[in-house]
Amino acid sequence: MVRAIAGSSRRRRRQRNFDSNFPKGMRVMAVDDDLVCLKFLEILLLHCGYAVTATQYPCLALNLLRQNSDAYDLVIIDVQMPDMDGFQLLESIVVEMDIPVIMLSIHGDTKSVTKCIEHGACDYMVKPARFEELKLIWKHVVKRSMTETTFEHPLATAALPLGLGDGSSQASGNDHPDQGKGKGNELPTSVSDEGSSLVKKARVTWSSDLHAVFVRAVNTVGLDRAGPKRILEMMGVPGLSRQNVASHLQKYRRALRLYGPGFFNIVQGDAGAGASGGADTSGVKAKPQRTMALALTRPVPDNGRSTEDLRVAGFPNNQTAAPVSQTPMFSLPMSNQNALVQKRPSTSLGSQQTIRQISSPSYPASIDLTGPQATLDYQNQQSFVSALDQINDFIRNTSQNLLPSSIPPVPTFASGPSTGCTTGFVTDANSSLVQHGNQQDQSTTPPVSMMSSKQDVQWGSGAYTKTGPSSGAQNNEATLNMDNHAVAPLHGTSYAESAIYLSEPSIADGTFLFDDDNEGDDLHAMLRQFQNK
Amino acid sequence: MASVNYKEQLAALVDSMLREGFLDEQFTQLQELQDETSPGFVEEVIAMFCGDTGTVFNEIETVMNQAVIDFQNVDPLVHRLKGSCCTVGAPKMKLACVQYRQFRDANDRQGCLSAVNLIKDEYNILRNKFETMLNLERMIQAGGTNKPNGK
Repeated sequence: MVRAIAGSSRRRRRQRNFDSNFPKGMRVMAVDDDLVCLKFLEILLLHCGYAVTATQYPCLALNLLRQNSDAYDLVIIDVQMPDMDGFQLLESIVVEMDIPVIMLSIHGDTKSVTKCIEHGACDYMVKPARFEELKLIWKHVVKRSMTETTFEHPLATAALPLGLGDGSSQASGNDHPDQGKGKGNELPTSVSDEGSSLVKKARVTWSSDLHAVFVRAVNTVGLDRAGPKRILEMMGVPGLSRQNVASHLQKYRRALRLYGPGFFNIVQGDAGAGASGGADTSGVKAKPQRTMALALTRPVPDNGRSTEDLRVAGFPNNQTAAPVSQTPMFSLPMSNQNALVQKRPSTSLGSQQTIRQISSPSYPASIDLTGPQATLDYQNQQSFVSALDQINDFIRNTSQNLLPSSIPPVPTFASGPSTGCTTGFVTDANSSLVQHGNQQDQSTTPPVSMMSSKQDVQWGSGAYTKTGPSSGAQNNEATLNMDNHAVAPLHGTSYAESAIYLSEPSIADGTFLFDDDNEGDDLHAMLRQFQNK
Repeated sequence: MASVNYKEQLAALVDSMLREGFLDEQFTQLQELQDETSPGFVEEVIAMFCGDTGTVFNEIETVMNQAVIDFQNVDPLVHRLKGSCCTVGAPKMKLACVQYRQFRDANDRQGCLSAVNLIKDEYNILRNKFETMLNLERMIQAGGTNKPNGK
């Protein structure tokens, strides 16, 4: 029999303490492939007083959550990400972990918002995120807690602080019939903690084993005929409530409807696994559940990139995320986690202002800031340039420590003999800027190395020293640790190195369809050269 | 210029960019978020923006250099750019991204092409101004806000 007790390997009932500082210190994970947006979100969340874990990689985020879902109270996800669709990640989290998820997108149209809510998001935000909104996201955590606590722990609900819960009045006198299945003395001790602290939400974690039991029960009853009460009886898991089963069944059905039986395989990157049983949606067969159970224990492939980055990058304390087989740092209880992460010195934000950013060096460590002003490809916009020219000239004339070359210009997408593009696009009469003589840049500077300069950025010896290795920030894989804030992102490595590192994952792992006959692509040219030999 | 205060210069630059519509209140919010707990925040975001956007443009260029441009491959890139420039507070560039979207919805390839070029041009202008801003920031950090000593 599957026992639903804390400590059981089958299913854990999460104990989450809302301490007296709540919502300060609430643990938020932020996932966005766009570094700028991620950074901004991170800072805002920190200003709200939350403990933030930020990553560009949805696969990594999912792995982290699977390793230790207890370590996070809420997740914020960008809708559109190249590695994994935001909706897929959302569904995975909702089904497996039941953590509140907020979706973030640049679109705010009704259709997008509706879609997110239908997929299980508890809220939706339009980029850029607003401080006023983020200040209140903790309400989703409380709300989720109240919904589940209501039916499971009469003692716990009795300890709910006044004024918080619409659910409390329901719960206090609740004598749910299904409680007879569970054992009253199985209530975890922390739940009975009364006083001013909020009662913990005993969140059901649907482990792969528990889910397998669920699916077996559903199969036996029949998906179409399955009702939560019947499934609950069939599962025979003490401590599990009808409400838990009902919400899980709803999500399960939705996942099947939206993605088909192969959903979990696809989400876990196991798209090749045909054991999902194909498109048979009339009933979930034994095969899919077995595959799903196996798949759930497998770490999500992350293109081999994110864990590498983590290993190489070095976290603030030179710790890296361990592979799934080991005990990762992120499974440590929160107090230990705080100890591992360098805290930001702040008097205003409290001691829980920690941040771990798990990012790859996906933007150049140094910005190449020298370069002839003439590389501007819009010389006909003299009115905007002239004032700047004066300032720039003055700076150049008066400063001894000129920064290295400027960011190389982005090439004009012009047609012309030098580009080798013939029918691709036509010189646009409207785009007089397009006609500009920047074709030389385009012809001579291949795409990948467009941004390479070979020079390090010397930011001076002041507080913004960025050359050389600094504590915790290694190479150009910036873990944007707050203490290394000024240092990590603009590390003094070769721009060329960082550019190449940057380009490869972006292009190679992107979803773009490159024509193999692309004349302008140096990589392909090189490959052809070898092939022709 | 006899007496120059880098901080004043920087403030003037930001003001002019705000007035001319290159930056909006989102950028002002970025500045407000910079405090003792995140001292180099604005600089960092600008640097990230320039680096990240440059990379995206590399990818756009790769797609645009193909014989037949598949704008479906450009869509996610422009989407990404739009997110970045919204966050950094660059309304002109954002508007160019919106125009691209409109041309895409109307299936106007020529319009899409011009929109992509417009995005790029707006970015180049912005980048140039950001370079100046970063230079000034650097001057301020290195030498304080005092006048340059005739260097």
